[in-house]
Amino acid sequence: MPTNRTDRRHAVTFLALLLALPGVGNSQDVSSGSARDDMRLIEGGQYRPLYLSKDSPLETVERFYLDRYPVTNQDFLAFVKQHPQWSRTSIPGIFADSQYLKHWPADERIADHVADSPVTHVSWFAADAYCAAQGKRLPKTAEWERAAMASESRADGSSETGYKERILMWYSKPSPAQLPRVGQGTANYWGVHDLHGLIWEWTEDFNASMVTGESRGDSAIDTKLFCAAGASGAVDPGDYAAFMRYGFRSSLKADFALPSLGFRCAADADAMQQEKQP
Amino acid sequence: MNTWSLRGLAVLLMLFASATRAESPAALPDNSVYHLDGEWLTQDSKPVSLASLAGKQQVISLIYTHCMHSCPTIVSAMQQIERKLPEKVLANTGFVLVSLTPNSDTPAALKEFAEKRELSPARWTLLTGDPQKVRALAMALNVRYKRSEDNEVAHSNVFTLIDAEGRVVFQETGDMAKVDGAVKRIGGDN
Repeated sequence: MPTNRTDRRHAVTFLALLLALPGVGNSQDVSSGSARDDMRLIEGGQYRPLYLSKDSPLETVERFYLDRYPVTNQDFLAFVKQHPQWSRTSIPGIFADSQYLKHWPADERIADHVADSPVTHVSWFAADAYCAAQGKRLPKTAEWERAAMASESRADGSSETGYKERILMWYSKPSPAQLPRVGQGTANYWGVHDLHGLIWEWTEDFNASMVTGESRGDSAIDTKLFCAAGASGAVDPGDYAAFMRYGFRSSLKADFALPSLGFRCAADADAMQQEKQP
Repeated sequence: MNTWSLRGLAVLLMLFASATRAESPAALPDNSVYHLDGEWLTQDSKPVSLASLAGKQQVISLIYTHCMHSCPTIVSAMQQIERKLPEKVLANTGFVLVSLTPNSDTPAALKEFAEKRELSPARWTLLTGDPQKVRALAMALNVRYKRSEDNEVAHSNVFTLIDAEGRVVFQETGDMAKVDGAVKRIGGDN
């Protein structure tokens, strides 16, 4: 039965293709939700913050929506036009340092060639206000890391050969003077682009990893994060890229407006899954 | 309309314009936390903006009412400061507690906490608001916190003195040993 065998081979190939493109399955979830075409649903899961030891409790990440692309200069320009209090000259000093939107030629003008590049030189406050204006919010660090753990074919790419090396490779390269357009690379497992390789991104609680696990006493810097003893006790000492992200985030202040730091927004998947009552 | 009434109208308009300008955020110093927008609820369910705290210096801390560890210490330290400040400084000083768990810290819960801790309603304002606004305030005060799944919050154990226009004057850990030093600094700024 040579025909049958060929059919079967085709079916297997097709199945393999489907498995390799799980974004196809995800898009159904998005379309069944509200008008979130610019977002992708990230399924929830357990996540262990890497700076804690193997015995430390897992953090649960509820399913949530995440923007497919980082916010671009063009997107941010539209926001500033609608909310001029966030323009370069109007923004109060408490919300951004002097580098805020310094790459824009004027308050409400951007160079054409950066329109689709990720907006950078934005402070946490501006990113937070942008997301709020869209009815969204900044992703929590745990959410961002959960989404960024994915490779092109798996929700958890960490076991894949070459995955961490690819990310580290980007970290070792200096940022180009002109950031490329968003969405040029392949989407990850969730259908989300540019989590690695383009910019660093703000998270809602970027500085919270510095708080110790206990609320008693002063919330001193969690030294385990930086010293060698910490690395050996950490969940995955091989994930140096993740350590770099934690280190970088912990060095930020909310008013910083840096050349390679941008953001994207997130949203709750279910209103029911907001803060639990005690 | 004669010239006089026109002139009178102009003067009135100017007065009105200057009055509104004084209340608009544009009149605030560049580094004032009162630029933060959003509506908050007090322990008496009264809707207020942060800017409504302007006019007095404020000792402010972010806490949550069911906190078992560092919060009681912070509040005790702030109460100790209140006891030790001279009357004339107190007249120009308020105390503010902002909830880190706004969904469970309802105005009623704040009220109960204030009564249990004997916080004088004349001087103490307890606030609850939108979680996103709480985070923004924490960022402005450089307060770090992280909620765990049991609704406990690991957070910076600090209180902050902000001046009458919302500028951060200093920040101190909520430790009884720091009270005397803080009292001197708070009193010295008047």
